[in-house]
Amino acid sequence: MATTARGTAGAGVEAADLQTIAEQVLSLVKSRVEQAEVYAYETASTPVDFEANRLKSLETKESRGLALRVVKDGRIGLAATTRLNDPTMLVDQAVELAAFGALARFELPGAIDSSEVNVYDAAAEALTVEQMVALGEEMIERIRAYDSEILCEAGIRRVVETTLILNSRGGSGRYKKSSFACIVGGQLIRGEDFLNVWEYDSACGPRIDQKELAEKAIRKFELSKTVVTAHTRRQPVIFTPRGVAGILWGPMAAALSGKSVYQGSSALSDKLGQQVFDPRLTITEDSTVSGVPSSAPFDDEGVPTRRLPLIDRGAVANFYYDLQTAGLAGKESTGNGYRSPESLPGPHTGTIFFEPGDVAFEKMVGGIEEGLIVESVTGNAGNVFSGDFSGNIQGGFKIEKGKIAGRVKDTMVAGNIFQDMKQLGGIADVAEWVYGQARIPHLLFAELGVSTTS
Amino acid sequence: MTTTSSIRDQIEQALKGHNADYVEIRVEETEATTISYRGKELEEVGKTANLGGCVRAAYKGGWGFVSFNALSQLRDKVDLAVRQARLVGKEETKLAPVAPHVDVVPLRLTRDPRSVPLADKKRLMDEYLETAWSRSSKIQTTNAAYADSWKKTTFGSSEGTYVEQEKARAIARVIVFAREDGNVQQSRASFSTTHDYDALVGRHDEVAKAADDAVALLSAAVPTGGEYTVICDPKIAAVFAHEAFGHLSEGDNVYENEKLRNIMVLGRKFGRPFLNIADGGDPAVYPGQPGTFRYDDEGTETRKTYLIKEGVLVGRLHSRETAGKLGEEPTGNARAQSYRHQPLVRMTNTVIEPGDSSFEEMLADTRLGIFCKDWYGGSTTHEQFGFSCAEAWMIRDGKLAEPLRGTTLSGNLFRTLENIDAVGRDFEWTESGGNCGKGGQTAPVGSGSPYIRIQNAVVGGR
Repeated sequence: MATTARGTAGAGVEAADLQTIAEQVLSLVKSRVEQAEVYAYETASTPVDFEANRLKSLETKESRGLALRVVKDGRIGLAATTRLNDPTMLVDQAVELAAFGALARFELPGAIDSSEVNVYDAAAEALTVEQMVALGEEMIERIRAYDSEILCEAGIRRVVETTLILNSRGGSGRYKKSSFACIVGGQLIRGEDFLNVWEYDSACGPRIDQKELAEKAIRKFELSKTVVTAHTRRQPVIFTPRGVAGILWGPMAAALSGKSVYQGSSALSDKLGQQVFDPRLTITEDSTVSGVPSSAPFDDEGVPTRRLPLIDRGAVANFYYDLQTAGLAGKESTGNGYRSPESLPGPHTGTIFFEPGDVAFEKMVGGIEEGLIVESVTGNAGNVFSGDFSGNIQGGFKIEKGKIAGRVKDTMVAGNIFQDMKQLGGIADVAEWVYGQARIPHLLFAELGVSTTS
Repeated sequence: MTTTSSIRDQIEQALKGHNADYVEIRVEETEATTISYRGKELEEVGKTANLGGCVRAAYKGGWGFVSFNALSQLRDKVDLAVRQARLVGKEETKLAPVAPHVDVVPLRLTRDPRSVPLADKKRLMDEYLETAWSRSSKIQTTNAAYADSWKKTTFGSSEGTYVEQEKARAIARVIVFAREDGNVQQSRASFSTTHDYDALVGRHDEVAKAADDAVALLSAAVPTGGEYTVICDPKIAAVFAHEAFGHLSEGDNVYENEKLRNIMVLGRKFGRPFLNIADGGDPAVYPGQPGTFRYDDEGTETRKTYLIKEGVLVGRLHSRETAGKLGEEPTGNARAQSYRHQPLVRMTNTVIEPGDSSFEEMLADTRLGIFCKDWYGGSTTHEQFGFSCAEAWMIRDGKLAEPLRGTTLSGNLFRTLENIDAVGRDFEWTESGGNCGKGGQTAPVGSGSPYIRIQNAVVGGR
């Protein structure tokens, strides 16, 4: 299965080589340890980037490597490398480090089920660089036709990766994933006012509506051209799906992580089964959904992914775990053990679904005398575990008398997910895909703190 | 292990004869050790040894880039990069000229972290954790990590530059979480060095202070949002310089953006006469900082560049391409996160130079304000920026009053620099350094500043 990029004739490494090397590492280490797991990856990415309205560069990026996790005398050792010609060094390092490692609280899966989840689309791999260039040009032309003063940027990115897991208990699994992403946007400078707009979407195949993506950016430019002034006072604030993903989901995901629950750094650690959010809020992780790049048949430890309710009608339904954290906490892995090749797996989420509510977005806006719509903020990087969020609104609009009046600047919004999401003002009736990894509706806060320059 | 001489031979062979305006090859070897803890318990001990490389080619203003882990058939990779560049290029390649260098930069370490036994590193972290946990029964947990890394970059270009450079870094970090009912607060102690393991040792007092700070934050209030006079400690002031101004000084933002060029015109006044902001990676000027290195990732020698001198915009940061297109001199600011990335124009070590006020003087004539100390992070969209503070206190009638949590500051480039009305005389480097993210790449950057005071800053709150 060569991951050769057509049109650029990428020098893809045969996946069979990776399998052979992984098997070689496993057979070298097996007799020296109680458990061993080889995690191997190979990726080929082909980004096509446009800058200042025109094609800037073409890239072919290939990477492959191995990580070896062992359990020796009950302790975990880890070594990783992209030097595939020296398996003995990798094995020696992992075994030596195990003497210093943490006590293992898991048993690797004896069988890995590559179930029905499909995250590979041959059409993505078949796309030529010329086709990708044409897609980018089309989006830029569309935006430039709307306003030639906009300085456009765009990117068309295709990644194909193979993940391979082999362990000493007989577990063996591999899958191939493709992702195709489009980004388009631009900057419009008028006087000393900078307006930046961008749109992004991804899928496993080249099934993104580029035209609609460019049109979305255009609609945002149009809404943003008028700058209006907000007031410093508590007021209704709507978070767009992107705003929810970028501002609110981070502290929620941190609080639901089995790791922070086990350590007690999560404010929800003693709240399983209890009502903590608005009773209309239901959030489920489901990485078994095919065609989505954030999905996978199994996690990076070979545990199958599953549909996992996290928040059920406002109550904490489940926390998410990898094998080791689950072992420490006396729970089962939920198939959320994800990793970078250079570190041990830890709990991370895949594809997220917020259940839609019952208010049309237009009606939500229509019911607000004065308020804001927030898509993104800068400077929000505080203590996620406290649940606080705060930042300078970037993509944001003011609502006046039930209508979007224009863009706000020099305006900050602040709140706390545990206090301000107990009772929401409303949940929109449509959940939209955000970045191809979560489906989220607009959320209305009846009141949040807003501050601005006088 | 691939030997140095063979990498040099391979690079020189692969660069012979090509069909482009310019070609460069970068090969990186890295080694890293990580020790991390969950709570008091060791979580992970890992080692990584990587090898990878890339080829970048320019043809008529277009770029082709190929990255890989297998160094074999380097010549084919040059051909692929050139083919890609030729598909893109339709105009003219304009790279500011740089005299070719052939240089091997030795790594000068006082105590090499790689030579320290793993058991010693672990013992150090165990001691720090013991210190943190002993401070209060309200300490809920800790996240701690030690990491050291070494990187050797070998760079060769079609213009005859050949440079070998090594870099090392070690970091020790303890984040302390305090908890009272559902209220969870955190504070951190973070130590970093580029040349001496011993710089991370013996700093128990600072770990203890982080623990005490986390507990103190439990009773801190969220600020009331609005406009305030804000005094920034050197760490916040330095990140302010980085976010508020540094990014806009990066040549890639202006070189193909005429409107922005007309706004960021050299000679424009941005601040008061006592405001001086500079950036530089030159080891002779800023030795031992995270953004210090002799050559950037295009083989250009680093230097110190004033961005603002006496309140006036006087310079910007460049790669060879942005300098070439703007007819300015390259500054050695082309940096790539790794061999998997093309270099971007970015900061190295960014500083606000000292003025003549003192913290006490700034405090004394502030009636109502906020004192901000240390940061979690920041970001910018060029005109607007925001950053979040780790600790903060209200200032009432010239004195520090109640502690605050969750304090986020924002500002507008065209007003905020002008609103800096005092710059302190005592300069401090931010030791924790930190990483800057741009264009999907992160890079270690240095930053330093004295205390500064800003009038009319917007603070978020409920």
